[in-house]
Amino acid sequence: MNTSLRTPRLHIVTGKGGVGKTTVAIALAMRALSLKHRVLLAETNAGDAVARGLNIRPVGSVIREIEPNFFVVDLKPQAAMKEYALQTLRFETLYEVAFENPVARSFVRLVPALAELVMLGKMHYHFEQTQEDATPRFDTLIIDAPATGHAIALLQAPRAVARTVPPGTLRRSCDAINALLKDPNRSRLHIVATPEEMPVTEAKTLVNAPLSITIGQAFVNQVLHPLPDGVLPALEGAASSSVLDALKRRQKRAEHGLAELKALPAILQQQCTHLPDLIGDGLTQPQLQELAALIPRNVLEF
Amino acid sequence: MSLMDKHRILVCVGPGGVGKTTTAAAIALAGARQGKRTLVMTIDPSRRLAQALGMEKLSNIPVSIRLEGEEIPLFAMTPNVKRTFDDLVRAAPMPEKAQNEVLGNRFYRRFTESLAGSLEYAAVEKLYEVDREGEFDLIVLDTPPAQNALDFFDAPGRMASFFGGDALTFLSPNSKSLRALFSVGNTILSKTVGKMAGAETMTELVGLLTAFHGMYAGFRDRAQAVQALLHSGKELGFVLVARPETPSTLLHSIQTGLADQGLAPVAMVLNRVRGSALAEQDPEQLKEALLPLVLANERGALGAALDAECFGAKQTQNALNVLRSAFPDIALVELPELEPYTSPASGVQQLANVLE
Repeated sequence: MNTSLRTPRLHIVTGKGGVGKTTVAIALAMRALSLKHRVLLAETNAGDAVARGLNIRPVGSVIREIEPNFFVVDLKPQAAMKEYALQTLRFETLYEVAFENPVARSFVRLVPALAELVMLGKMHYHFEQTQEDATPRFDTLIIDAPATGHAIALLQAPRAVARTVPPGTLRRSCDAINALLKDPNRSRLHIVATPEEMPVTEAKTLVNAPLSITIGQAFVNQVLHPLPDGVLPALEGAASSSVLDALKRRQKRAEHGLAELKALPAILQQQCTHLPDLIGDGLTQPQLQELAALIPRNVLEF
Repeated sequence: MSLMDKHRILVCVGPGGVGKTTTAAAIALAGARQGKRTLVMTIDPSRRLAQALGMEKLSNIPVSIRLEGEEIPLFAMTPNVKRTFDDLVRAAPMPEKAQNEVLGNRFYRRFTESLAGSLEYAAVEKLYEVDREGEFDLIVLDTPPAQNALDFFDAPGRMASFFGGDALTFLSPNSKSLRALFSVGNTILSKTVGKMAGAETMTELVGLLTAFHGMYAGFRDRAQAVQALLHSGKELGFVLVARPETPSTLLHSIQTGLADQGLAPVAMVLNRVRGSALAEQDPEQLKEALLPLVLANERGALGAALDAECFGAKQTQNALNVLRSAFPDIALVELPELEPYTSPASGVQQLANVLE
């Protein structure tokens, strides 16, 4: 990959539940692959959504290369916590004494944002990882984040944990992760919506949430294009009433959807990719490629 | 017999984005129209339920709902997670001083503020409380927008195992292991965890766990009672909400997850069902007949629209078939897709008409 140092490499994808976050995250990964990036796509302990979307066997907490330069991982908090603790403590036996006991386990469950923090911490670690020739191990890292509310909690985790724990190793990790999220040259938050009221409202919620990450692209999924004006009148009398009825309702949905999109915050309207309403029970590889091709190059490279 | 007659409590579950909240509101409205004193509750922090009922906002206590043209005994509430937990602590058989210690503990505060697990638990806890007070003939609960709809069933069990877990036994006030671990200050545990999180953190955490210890029995009994309520198939029924577009693989995994816990939905609601009139149509034939009627440059758009509408109708039929064969003994209710531009409250009223 040959891009400027100012190109963000960490991409976090969120939006309302059910709008197609995973589909967009996968399409983004495929777009990056087409630009010859080495890509890590991470799902966030969300019931194998990425694996289902890619039609591959479940993704574990160990990074797996599913095709050349395309790596996947599931950021499971328990495993990420262990990795983090091991890096801090350096010895497995020490970890077992310290963490495989009831008090420490409840510590992990009681510090609310700790689970989220270690998930980000794992991505931060892979962000910084380099190969033998000092180039990054991954050019582009994509997180298929949870839906709006939980995504906000995820992105606020470094600050939340920093408020709970006193200065020390953990606090330093919080600060480093926060610096990564905050840096517009390194991280972006992409927001997925559909042309409907609630998804648009949640997109607004995300834009207005007190987050330090830079807002990237808006992806509007399942966009319907209204038929040209002359079409429906031309079919009147020729098409059956059920066909006409279905097309009229579709027309209304399409117009209504475009009207809803006007409520998207200005910042999202400026950087907005419309993705078509593709048909299928789960998308096929060529359909995912079709979506990937619609993603502007400058989302991933400047 | 309608959906609302079989059980006193109906819990709506399903994947994100299928319209659980709207469905819950419509079921409650239909119940209230039958004269049942009905409560609908949600803990979805977004104001979706309030909006669906035409309210500005909802609160921690049931408020009466007035919908245009309806005189009905309908109430709604949004439990407050922190308050639900505070009430539990206040109800614990322990001195006020100890209660205040818990309430003021930094970990406790952050724990109740966080979403992870406590939201789900607060919902069931509040449900249990309202149910025990016996003021309502029907309670409809909208579950949190969990990625994994099944998390919800597990919440009381997880909470019970947390409060009844080995940490508390380990932390019994007389426990030598506890003193050995924390008072000495240079043990491996306090050194290592302390190294990561700071020594004060550990002191405060142990303080909280010790305080919780006094409440353990109460929490355990409560969690068991809540768990029993969730599994009492006579009083409480689960309503699985889906959309025709919901992948069948996801529905199958929810079905398996339910069965693993010995649960099965009492009814299914397929939301936003579009007419199936086009399911039997061959889009190619339609295109052959209709495309010549429009301008050449309009044919692409019309063809795509016909393909999509025929496919959508077939997909709806498929989803209905998949659900029927997956749950042959369970009632399946189809709610139509609302006309665009329908206001949320009038949409709920229209859907309630279908449920009656």
